[in-house]
Amino acid sequence: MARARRVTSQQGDAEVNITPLLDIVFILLIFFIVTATFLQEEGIGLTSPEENPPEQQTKPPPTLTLSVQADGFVRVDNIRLIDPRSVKLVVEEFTAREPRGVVLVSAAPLAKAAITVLVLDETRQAGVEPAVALQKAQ
Amino acid sequence: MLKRSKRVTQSSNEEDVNVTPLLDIVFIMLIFFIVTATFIKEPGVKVERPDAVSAQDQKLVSILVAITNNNEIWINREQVPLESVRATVERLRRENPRGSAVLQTDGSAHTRYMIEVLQAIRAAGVSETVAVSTKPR
Repeated sequence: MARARRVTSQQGDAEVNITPLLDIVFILLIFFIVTATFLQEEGIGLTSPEENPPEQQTKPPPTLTLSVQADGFVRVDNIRLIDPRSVKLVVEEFTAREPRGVVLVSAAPLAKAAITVLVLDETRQAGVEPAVALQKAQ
Repeated sequence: MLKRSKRVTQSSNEEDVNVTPLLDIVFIMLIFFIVTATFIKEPGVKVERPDAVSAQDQKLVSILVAITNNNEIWINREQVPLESVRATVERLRRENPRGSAVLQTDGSAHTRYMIEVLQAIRAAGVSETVAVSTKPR
């Protein structure tokens, strides 16, 4: 009731005083601008190999194992040794042969991360999402 | 100039400038910055990241773990031993439960640390993507 009377009495006057509100809003705005960190990260998503439930398939899918060695070379299926820069061709050839095949990148603990990332990148360029695991120490 | 000062004197007994559009814009900016604020904890070390062609932009990064070229692990400006990476990530996760994690691995760090930190982050309950950071192009 009191409020209604006051409103009618200052009819010709201005509306509510919004200056304190504006002050707070500006302070909040400046705080969020200052704390805003526009982080631009590019990267390759890493997937770990997962264990299948044993009943689901009787035959395991064909697997291409790329073992990254500590000396910087890549051993394909424990048979031949290749340069990490030619992994893409090997994976493309494998997927042409086995369209449902799985690629496992198995890295030696002492291999340089740059080589492992290069192998992952080459595999992804060939259109396969590789799983990455660590070789067990012999 | 002349016209403007005349207008001001004319409306001197009236109200001041109309601030409603300004307020609208300020509110929109405020909401934008509140929504985009993620409060990332930077690792605090510089690493030489490897190159990759197939790298993608990582969205909503909230956890950053760096591995330097002499295999030290840094989270939130502190060096962390490999065994306590999981506990540290769990603590960060409690503060900010959403977002993905990014590993800033130096190209000459050992792969063992990269994979074991990845497994520790996964074990700490990060179900979003965990990515290894690469050089921005």
